[in-house]
Amino acid sequence: MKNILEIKKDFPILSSNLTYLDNSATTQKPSSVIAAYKEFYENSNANVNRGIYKLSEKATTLYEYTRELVAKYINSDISEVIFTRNTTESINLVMYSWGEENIKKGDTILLTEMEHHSNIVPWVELVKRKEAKIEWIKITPEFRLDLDDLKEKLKLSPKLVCVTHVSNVLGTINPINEIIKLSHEVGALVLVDAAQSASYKMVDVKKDDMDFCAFSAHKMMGPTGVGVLFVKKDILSNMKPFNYGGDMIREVHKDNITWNDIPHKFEAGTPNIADVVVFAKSIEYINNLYANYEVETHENELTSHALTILKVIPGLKIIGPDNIENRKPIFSFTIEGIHPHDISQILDNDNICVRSGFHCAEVLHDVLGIKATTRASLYFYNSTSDLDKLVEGLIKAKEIFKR
Amino acid sequence: MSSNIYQENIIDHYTNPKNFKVIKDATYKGKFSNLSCGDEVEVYVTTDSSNNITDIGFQGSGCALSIATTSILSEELKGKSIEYIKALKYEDLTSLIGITPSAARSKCVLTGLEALRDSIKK
Repeated sequence: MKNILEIKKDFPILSSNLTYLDNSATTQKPSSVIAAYKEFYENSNANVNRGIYKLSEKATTLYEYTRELVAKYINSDISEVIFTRNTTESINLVMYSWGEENIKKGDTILLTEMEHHSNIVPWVELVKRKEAKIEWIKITPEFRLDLDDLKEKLKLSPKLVCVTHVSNVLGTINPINEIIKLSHEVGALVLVDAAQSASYKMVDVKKDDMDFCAFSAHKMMGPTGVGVLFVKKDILSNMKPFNYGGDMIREVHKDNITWNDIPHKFEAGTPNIADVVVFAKSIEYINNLYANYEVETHENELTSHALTILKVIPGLKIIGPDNIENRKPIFSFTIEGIHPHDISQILDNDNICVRSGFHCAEVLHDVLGIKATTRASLYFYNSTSDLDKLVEGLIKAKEIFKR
Repeated sequence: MSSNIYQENIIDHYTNPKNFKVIKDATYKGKFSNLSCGDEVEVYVTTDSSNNITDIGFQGSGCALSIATTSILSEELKGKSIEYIKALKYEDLTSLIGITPSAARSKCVLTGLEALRDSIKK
């Protein structure tokens, strides 16, 4: 096994004096991903699915190769992988194409209190239109999903359960297999927000029997502008189109239009060809990491170092599980007497990038009774020395505010 | 002007804000919340018969910039007329506090003024 600390050199942006700890928002890109743009536009650029000429076939093959890679990456069938713009659009697709048809007056949708806004707002809007309702699954004082509360709320026979695989604030990994099993027992379908977990090669749609799963390429060292939606084939085959237009049709006559096969039925218009093609490089990069490096050991090292060293700061409270079990290296925290915006501004003076605010999870902050938090989220190219720099920066913030 | 926003005066006004109080029978009351960061400031303004500010108070929570700017502004406003608040601009606030924060922090600087504007529009 190779030393994972070596991979930092693959990321041009990290060669400067930068401590990048905002990976839950977006990840940095390795040289292979960046170079793939030039390669594509210089040698393979054409529209997909239409030209008979060789160049168009080449572009189509590359575009579909990414779909194949994604399908393998999440253990799905190729026809179950739809390319969208991002996780948010993937969830909106489910809301419009499945939700509009299947959620009726009086129906219940379950959401967890730790959902990202992208997995809240579409459903709140849908239930308003449908006169349906939302029930919230609580979290425990240990920042875990309350499975007893889930079991209780499942008695309401919900049609859909929407749950994040990994919380982008708490770092908590939800027991997705158990949640899906319990939900299926009462006939509910489950939508998994894998925006955070897909970055860690945790998604196995078959093993966990997911119905819907959404994630974004840019959080996997890939390009912005590409999202993925997985939908189980028998559900997808019965869903109405999302957008209407070119590519999603088989035949168009004045009096009769028929839809294309899945997944093309859900990809109207010229897709984001270059970004999808480039996305393949980021999946290959992650696959290579998992094959050749001790990824999980490194991750555990980062997590246990963070949980130990952050406690050195007086008044610092970690908003998330206090042990390395079932959590990812995402650390949101508060420091008594210092506002999160001030913390991140002071850290920025030393080129340390962290996020402050609600992290698109305002419901969670409401539930916890916290105004805002600072979040440091790590990825494979981070090291324990990045965490040491973070703590040095936090000590400076304490110094400035000690008066 | 300095770009280091954590100068002594800012920290002092943040840790010990002036006029940090509720005025129950204030002539004007207003508030402003910055939803993106959870900051919330409520202001109370008392005026005399010619609409000059005789007392001012504020409550709330926020970052160093929003609390310190509101505190400094509250000192500045005593004795001034309500019209003076209406004419205040962002640049007046930055020269008052003596620093030029980054664009992302302009909302923090404006929190107190927005609450004051809210109080007098009613």
